Amino acid sequence: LSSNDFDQIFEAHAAFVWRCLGALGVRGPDVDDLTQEVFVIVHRRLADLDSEQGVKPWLYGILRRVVLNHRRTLRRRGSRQSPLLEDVPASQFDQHDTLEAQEAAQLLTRVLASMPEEQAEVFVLVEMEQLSVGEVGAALEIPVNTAHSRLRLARARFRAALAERELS
Amino acid sequence: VTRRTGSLDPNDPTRDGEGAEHSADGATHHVVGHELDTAERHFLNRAKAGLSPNGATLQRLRASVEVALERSGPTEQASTARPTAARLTSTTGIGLFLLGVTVGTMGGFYWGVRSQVTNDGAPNTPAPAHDSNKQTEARTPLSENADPSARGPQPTTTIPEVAKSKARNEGSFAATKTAADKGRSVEREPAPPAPPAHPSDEIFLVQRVQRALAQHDPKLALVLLDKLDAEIPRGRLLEERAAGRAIAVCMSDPSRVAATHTRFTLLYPNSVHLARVNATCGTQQQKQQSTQHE
Repeated sequence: LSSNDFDQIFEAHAAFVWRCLGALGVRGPDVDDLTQEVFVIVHRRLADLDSEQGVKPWLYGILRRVVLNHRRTLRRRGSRQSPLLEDVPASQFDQHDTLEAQEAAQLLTRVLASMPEEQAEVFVLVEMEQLSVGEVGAALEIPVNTAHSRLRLARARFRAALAERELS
Repeated sequence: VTRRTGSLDPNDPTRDGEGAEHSADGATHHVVGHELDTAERHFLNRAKAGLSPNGATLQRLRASVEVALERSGPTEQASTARPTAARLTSTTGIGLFLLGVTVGTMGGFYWGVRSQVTNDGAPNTPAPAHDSNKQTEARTPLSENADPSARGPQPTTTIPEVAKSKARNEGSFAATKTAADKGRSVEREPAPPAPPAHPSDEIFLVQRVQRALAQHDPKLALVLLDKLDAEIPRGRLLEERAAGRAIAVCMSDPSRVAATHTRFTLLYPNSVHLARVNATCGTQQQKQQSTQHE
């Protein structure tokens, strides 16, 4: 794999990494920093990429470890930032997004924050990023049955949250 | 009709109540809930659009990744190229040196003896340098049967090796073609012309400079400032950049504190950043003075 492959991976998947970081509760300038960190690791480990596994599951595996390290650092520093429990600040959205898209994104982050994280990430990967459940199982290193179950529970919570919003 | 599994097997992924269910006929199937309907999917698509970065954000990310890769370049080189460099300098270098000394000595000895013993009137032209190896082998029968690898690495194999390691450690985004295929020196392909810098790039990089300084990382700040000077020489935040550079230099290079401080004060006497520059550079000067007194 060459640097051209790295360029292609960046072009095709930078937005995926950015969105997944947001879905995992990373906020503000940390999204930039962690996206950068993910791609520096990608550049270093390009040779490890298994074409059969697919790029997205591999990327998500890296991203997840980066986020875990980031949280560990925050905990060590005594930061009270709790992932998935904060609203996305308006500055996180691009100004070109429509108000409708911004509202939907904010609502989705609230819904994801109300779920256990293991369910939220399966939901995001399958429903938003269109990965197969098998790929999600590989990315999260969990059995496929567990991924199916988490998806079922996440869908139920998602529906309940949308219904609650409609009622309110 | 379904019933949930109640397995206590720790290896069973459905043990915690997640996963499979069994129908009345005993067949196992996954229960994934209902698929999302059209309205739900539409909502998710809108949310995805809202969470996605736009083109300018992606460009900014790309720039920051490039900076990070440039910065991590020496570290990677140190970790990956050091064995190659060490091997080349220790094994190849010593091997070549010894080979050269041996060949030179033996060749000189051979030609000296030959000119004395076999001087039958024929023109005794000195052999070219590259033939001296063959001459040596001809003089020493043992070397003909010896393992070629025992003679040490040959120059023709080490040059591509050097070129390969050099090319491997070249810039991250530029296409790198090793000279191993060509057997000559590495020539980096000309990079495509960079797109014009956007004002937001300057703001973003200046913010990163400030964060690097806040995290007491003046080296990173200087790398970023160099990048700014190269890519956006006529930006709108020149004063902020000068202040950042002054602070970074004062933090990293004690010998340049006084000059840097004076220069910034002269260039920007009314700068809003003067207090910060004074604070950093003044503290460093005081430290220097106290150490001199001691």
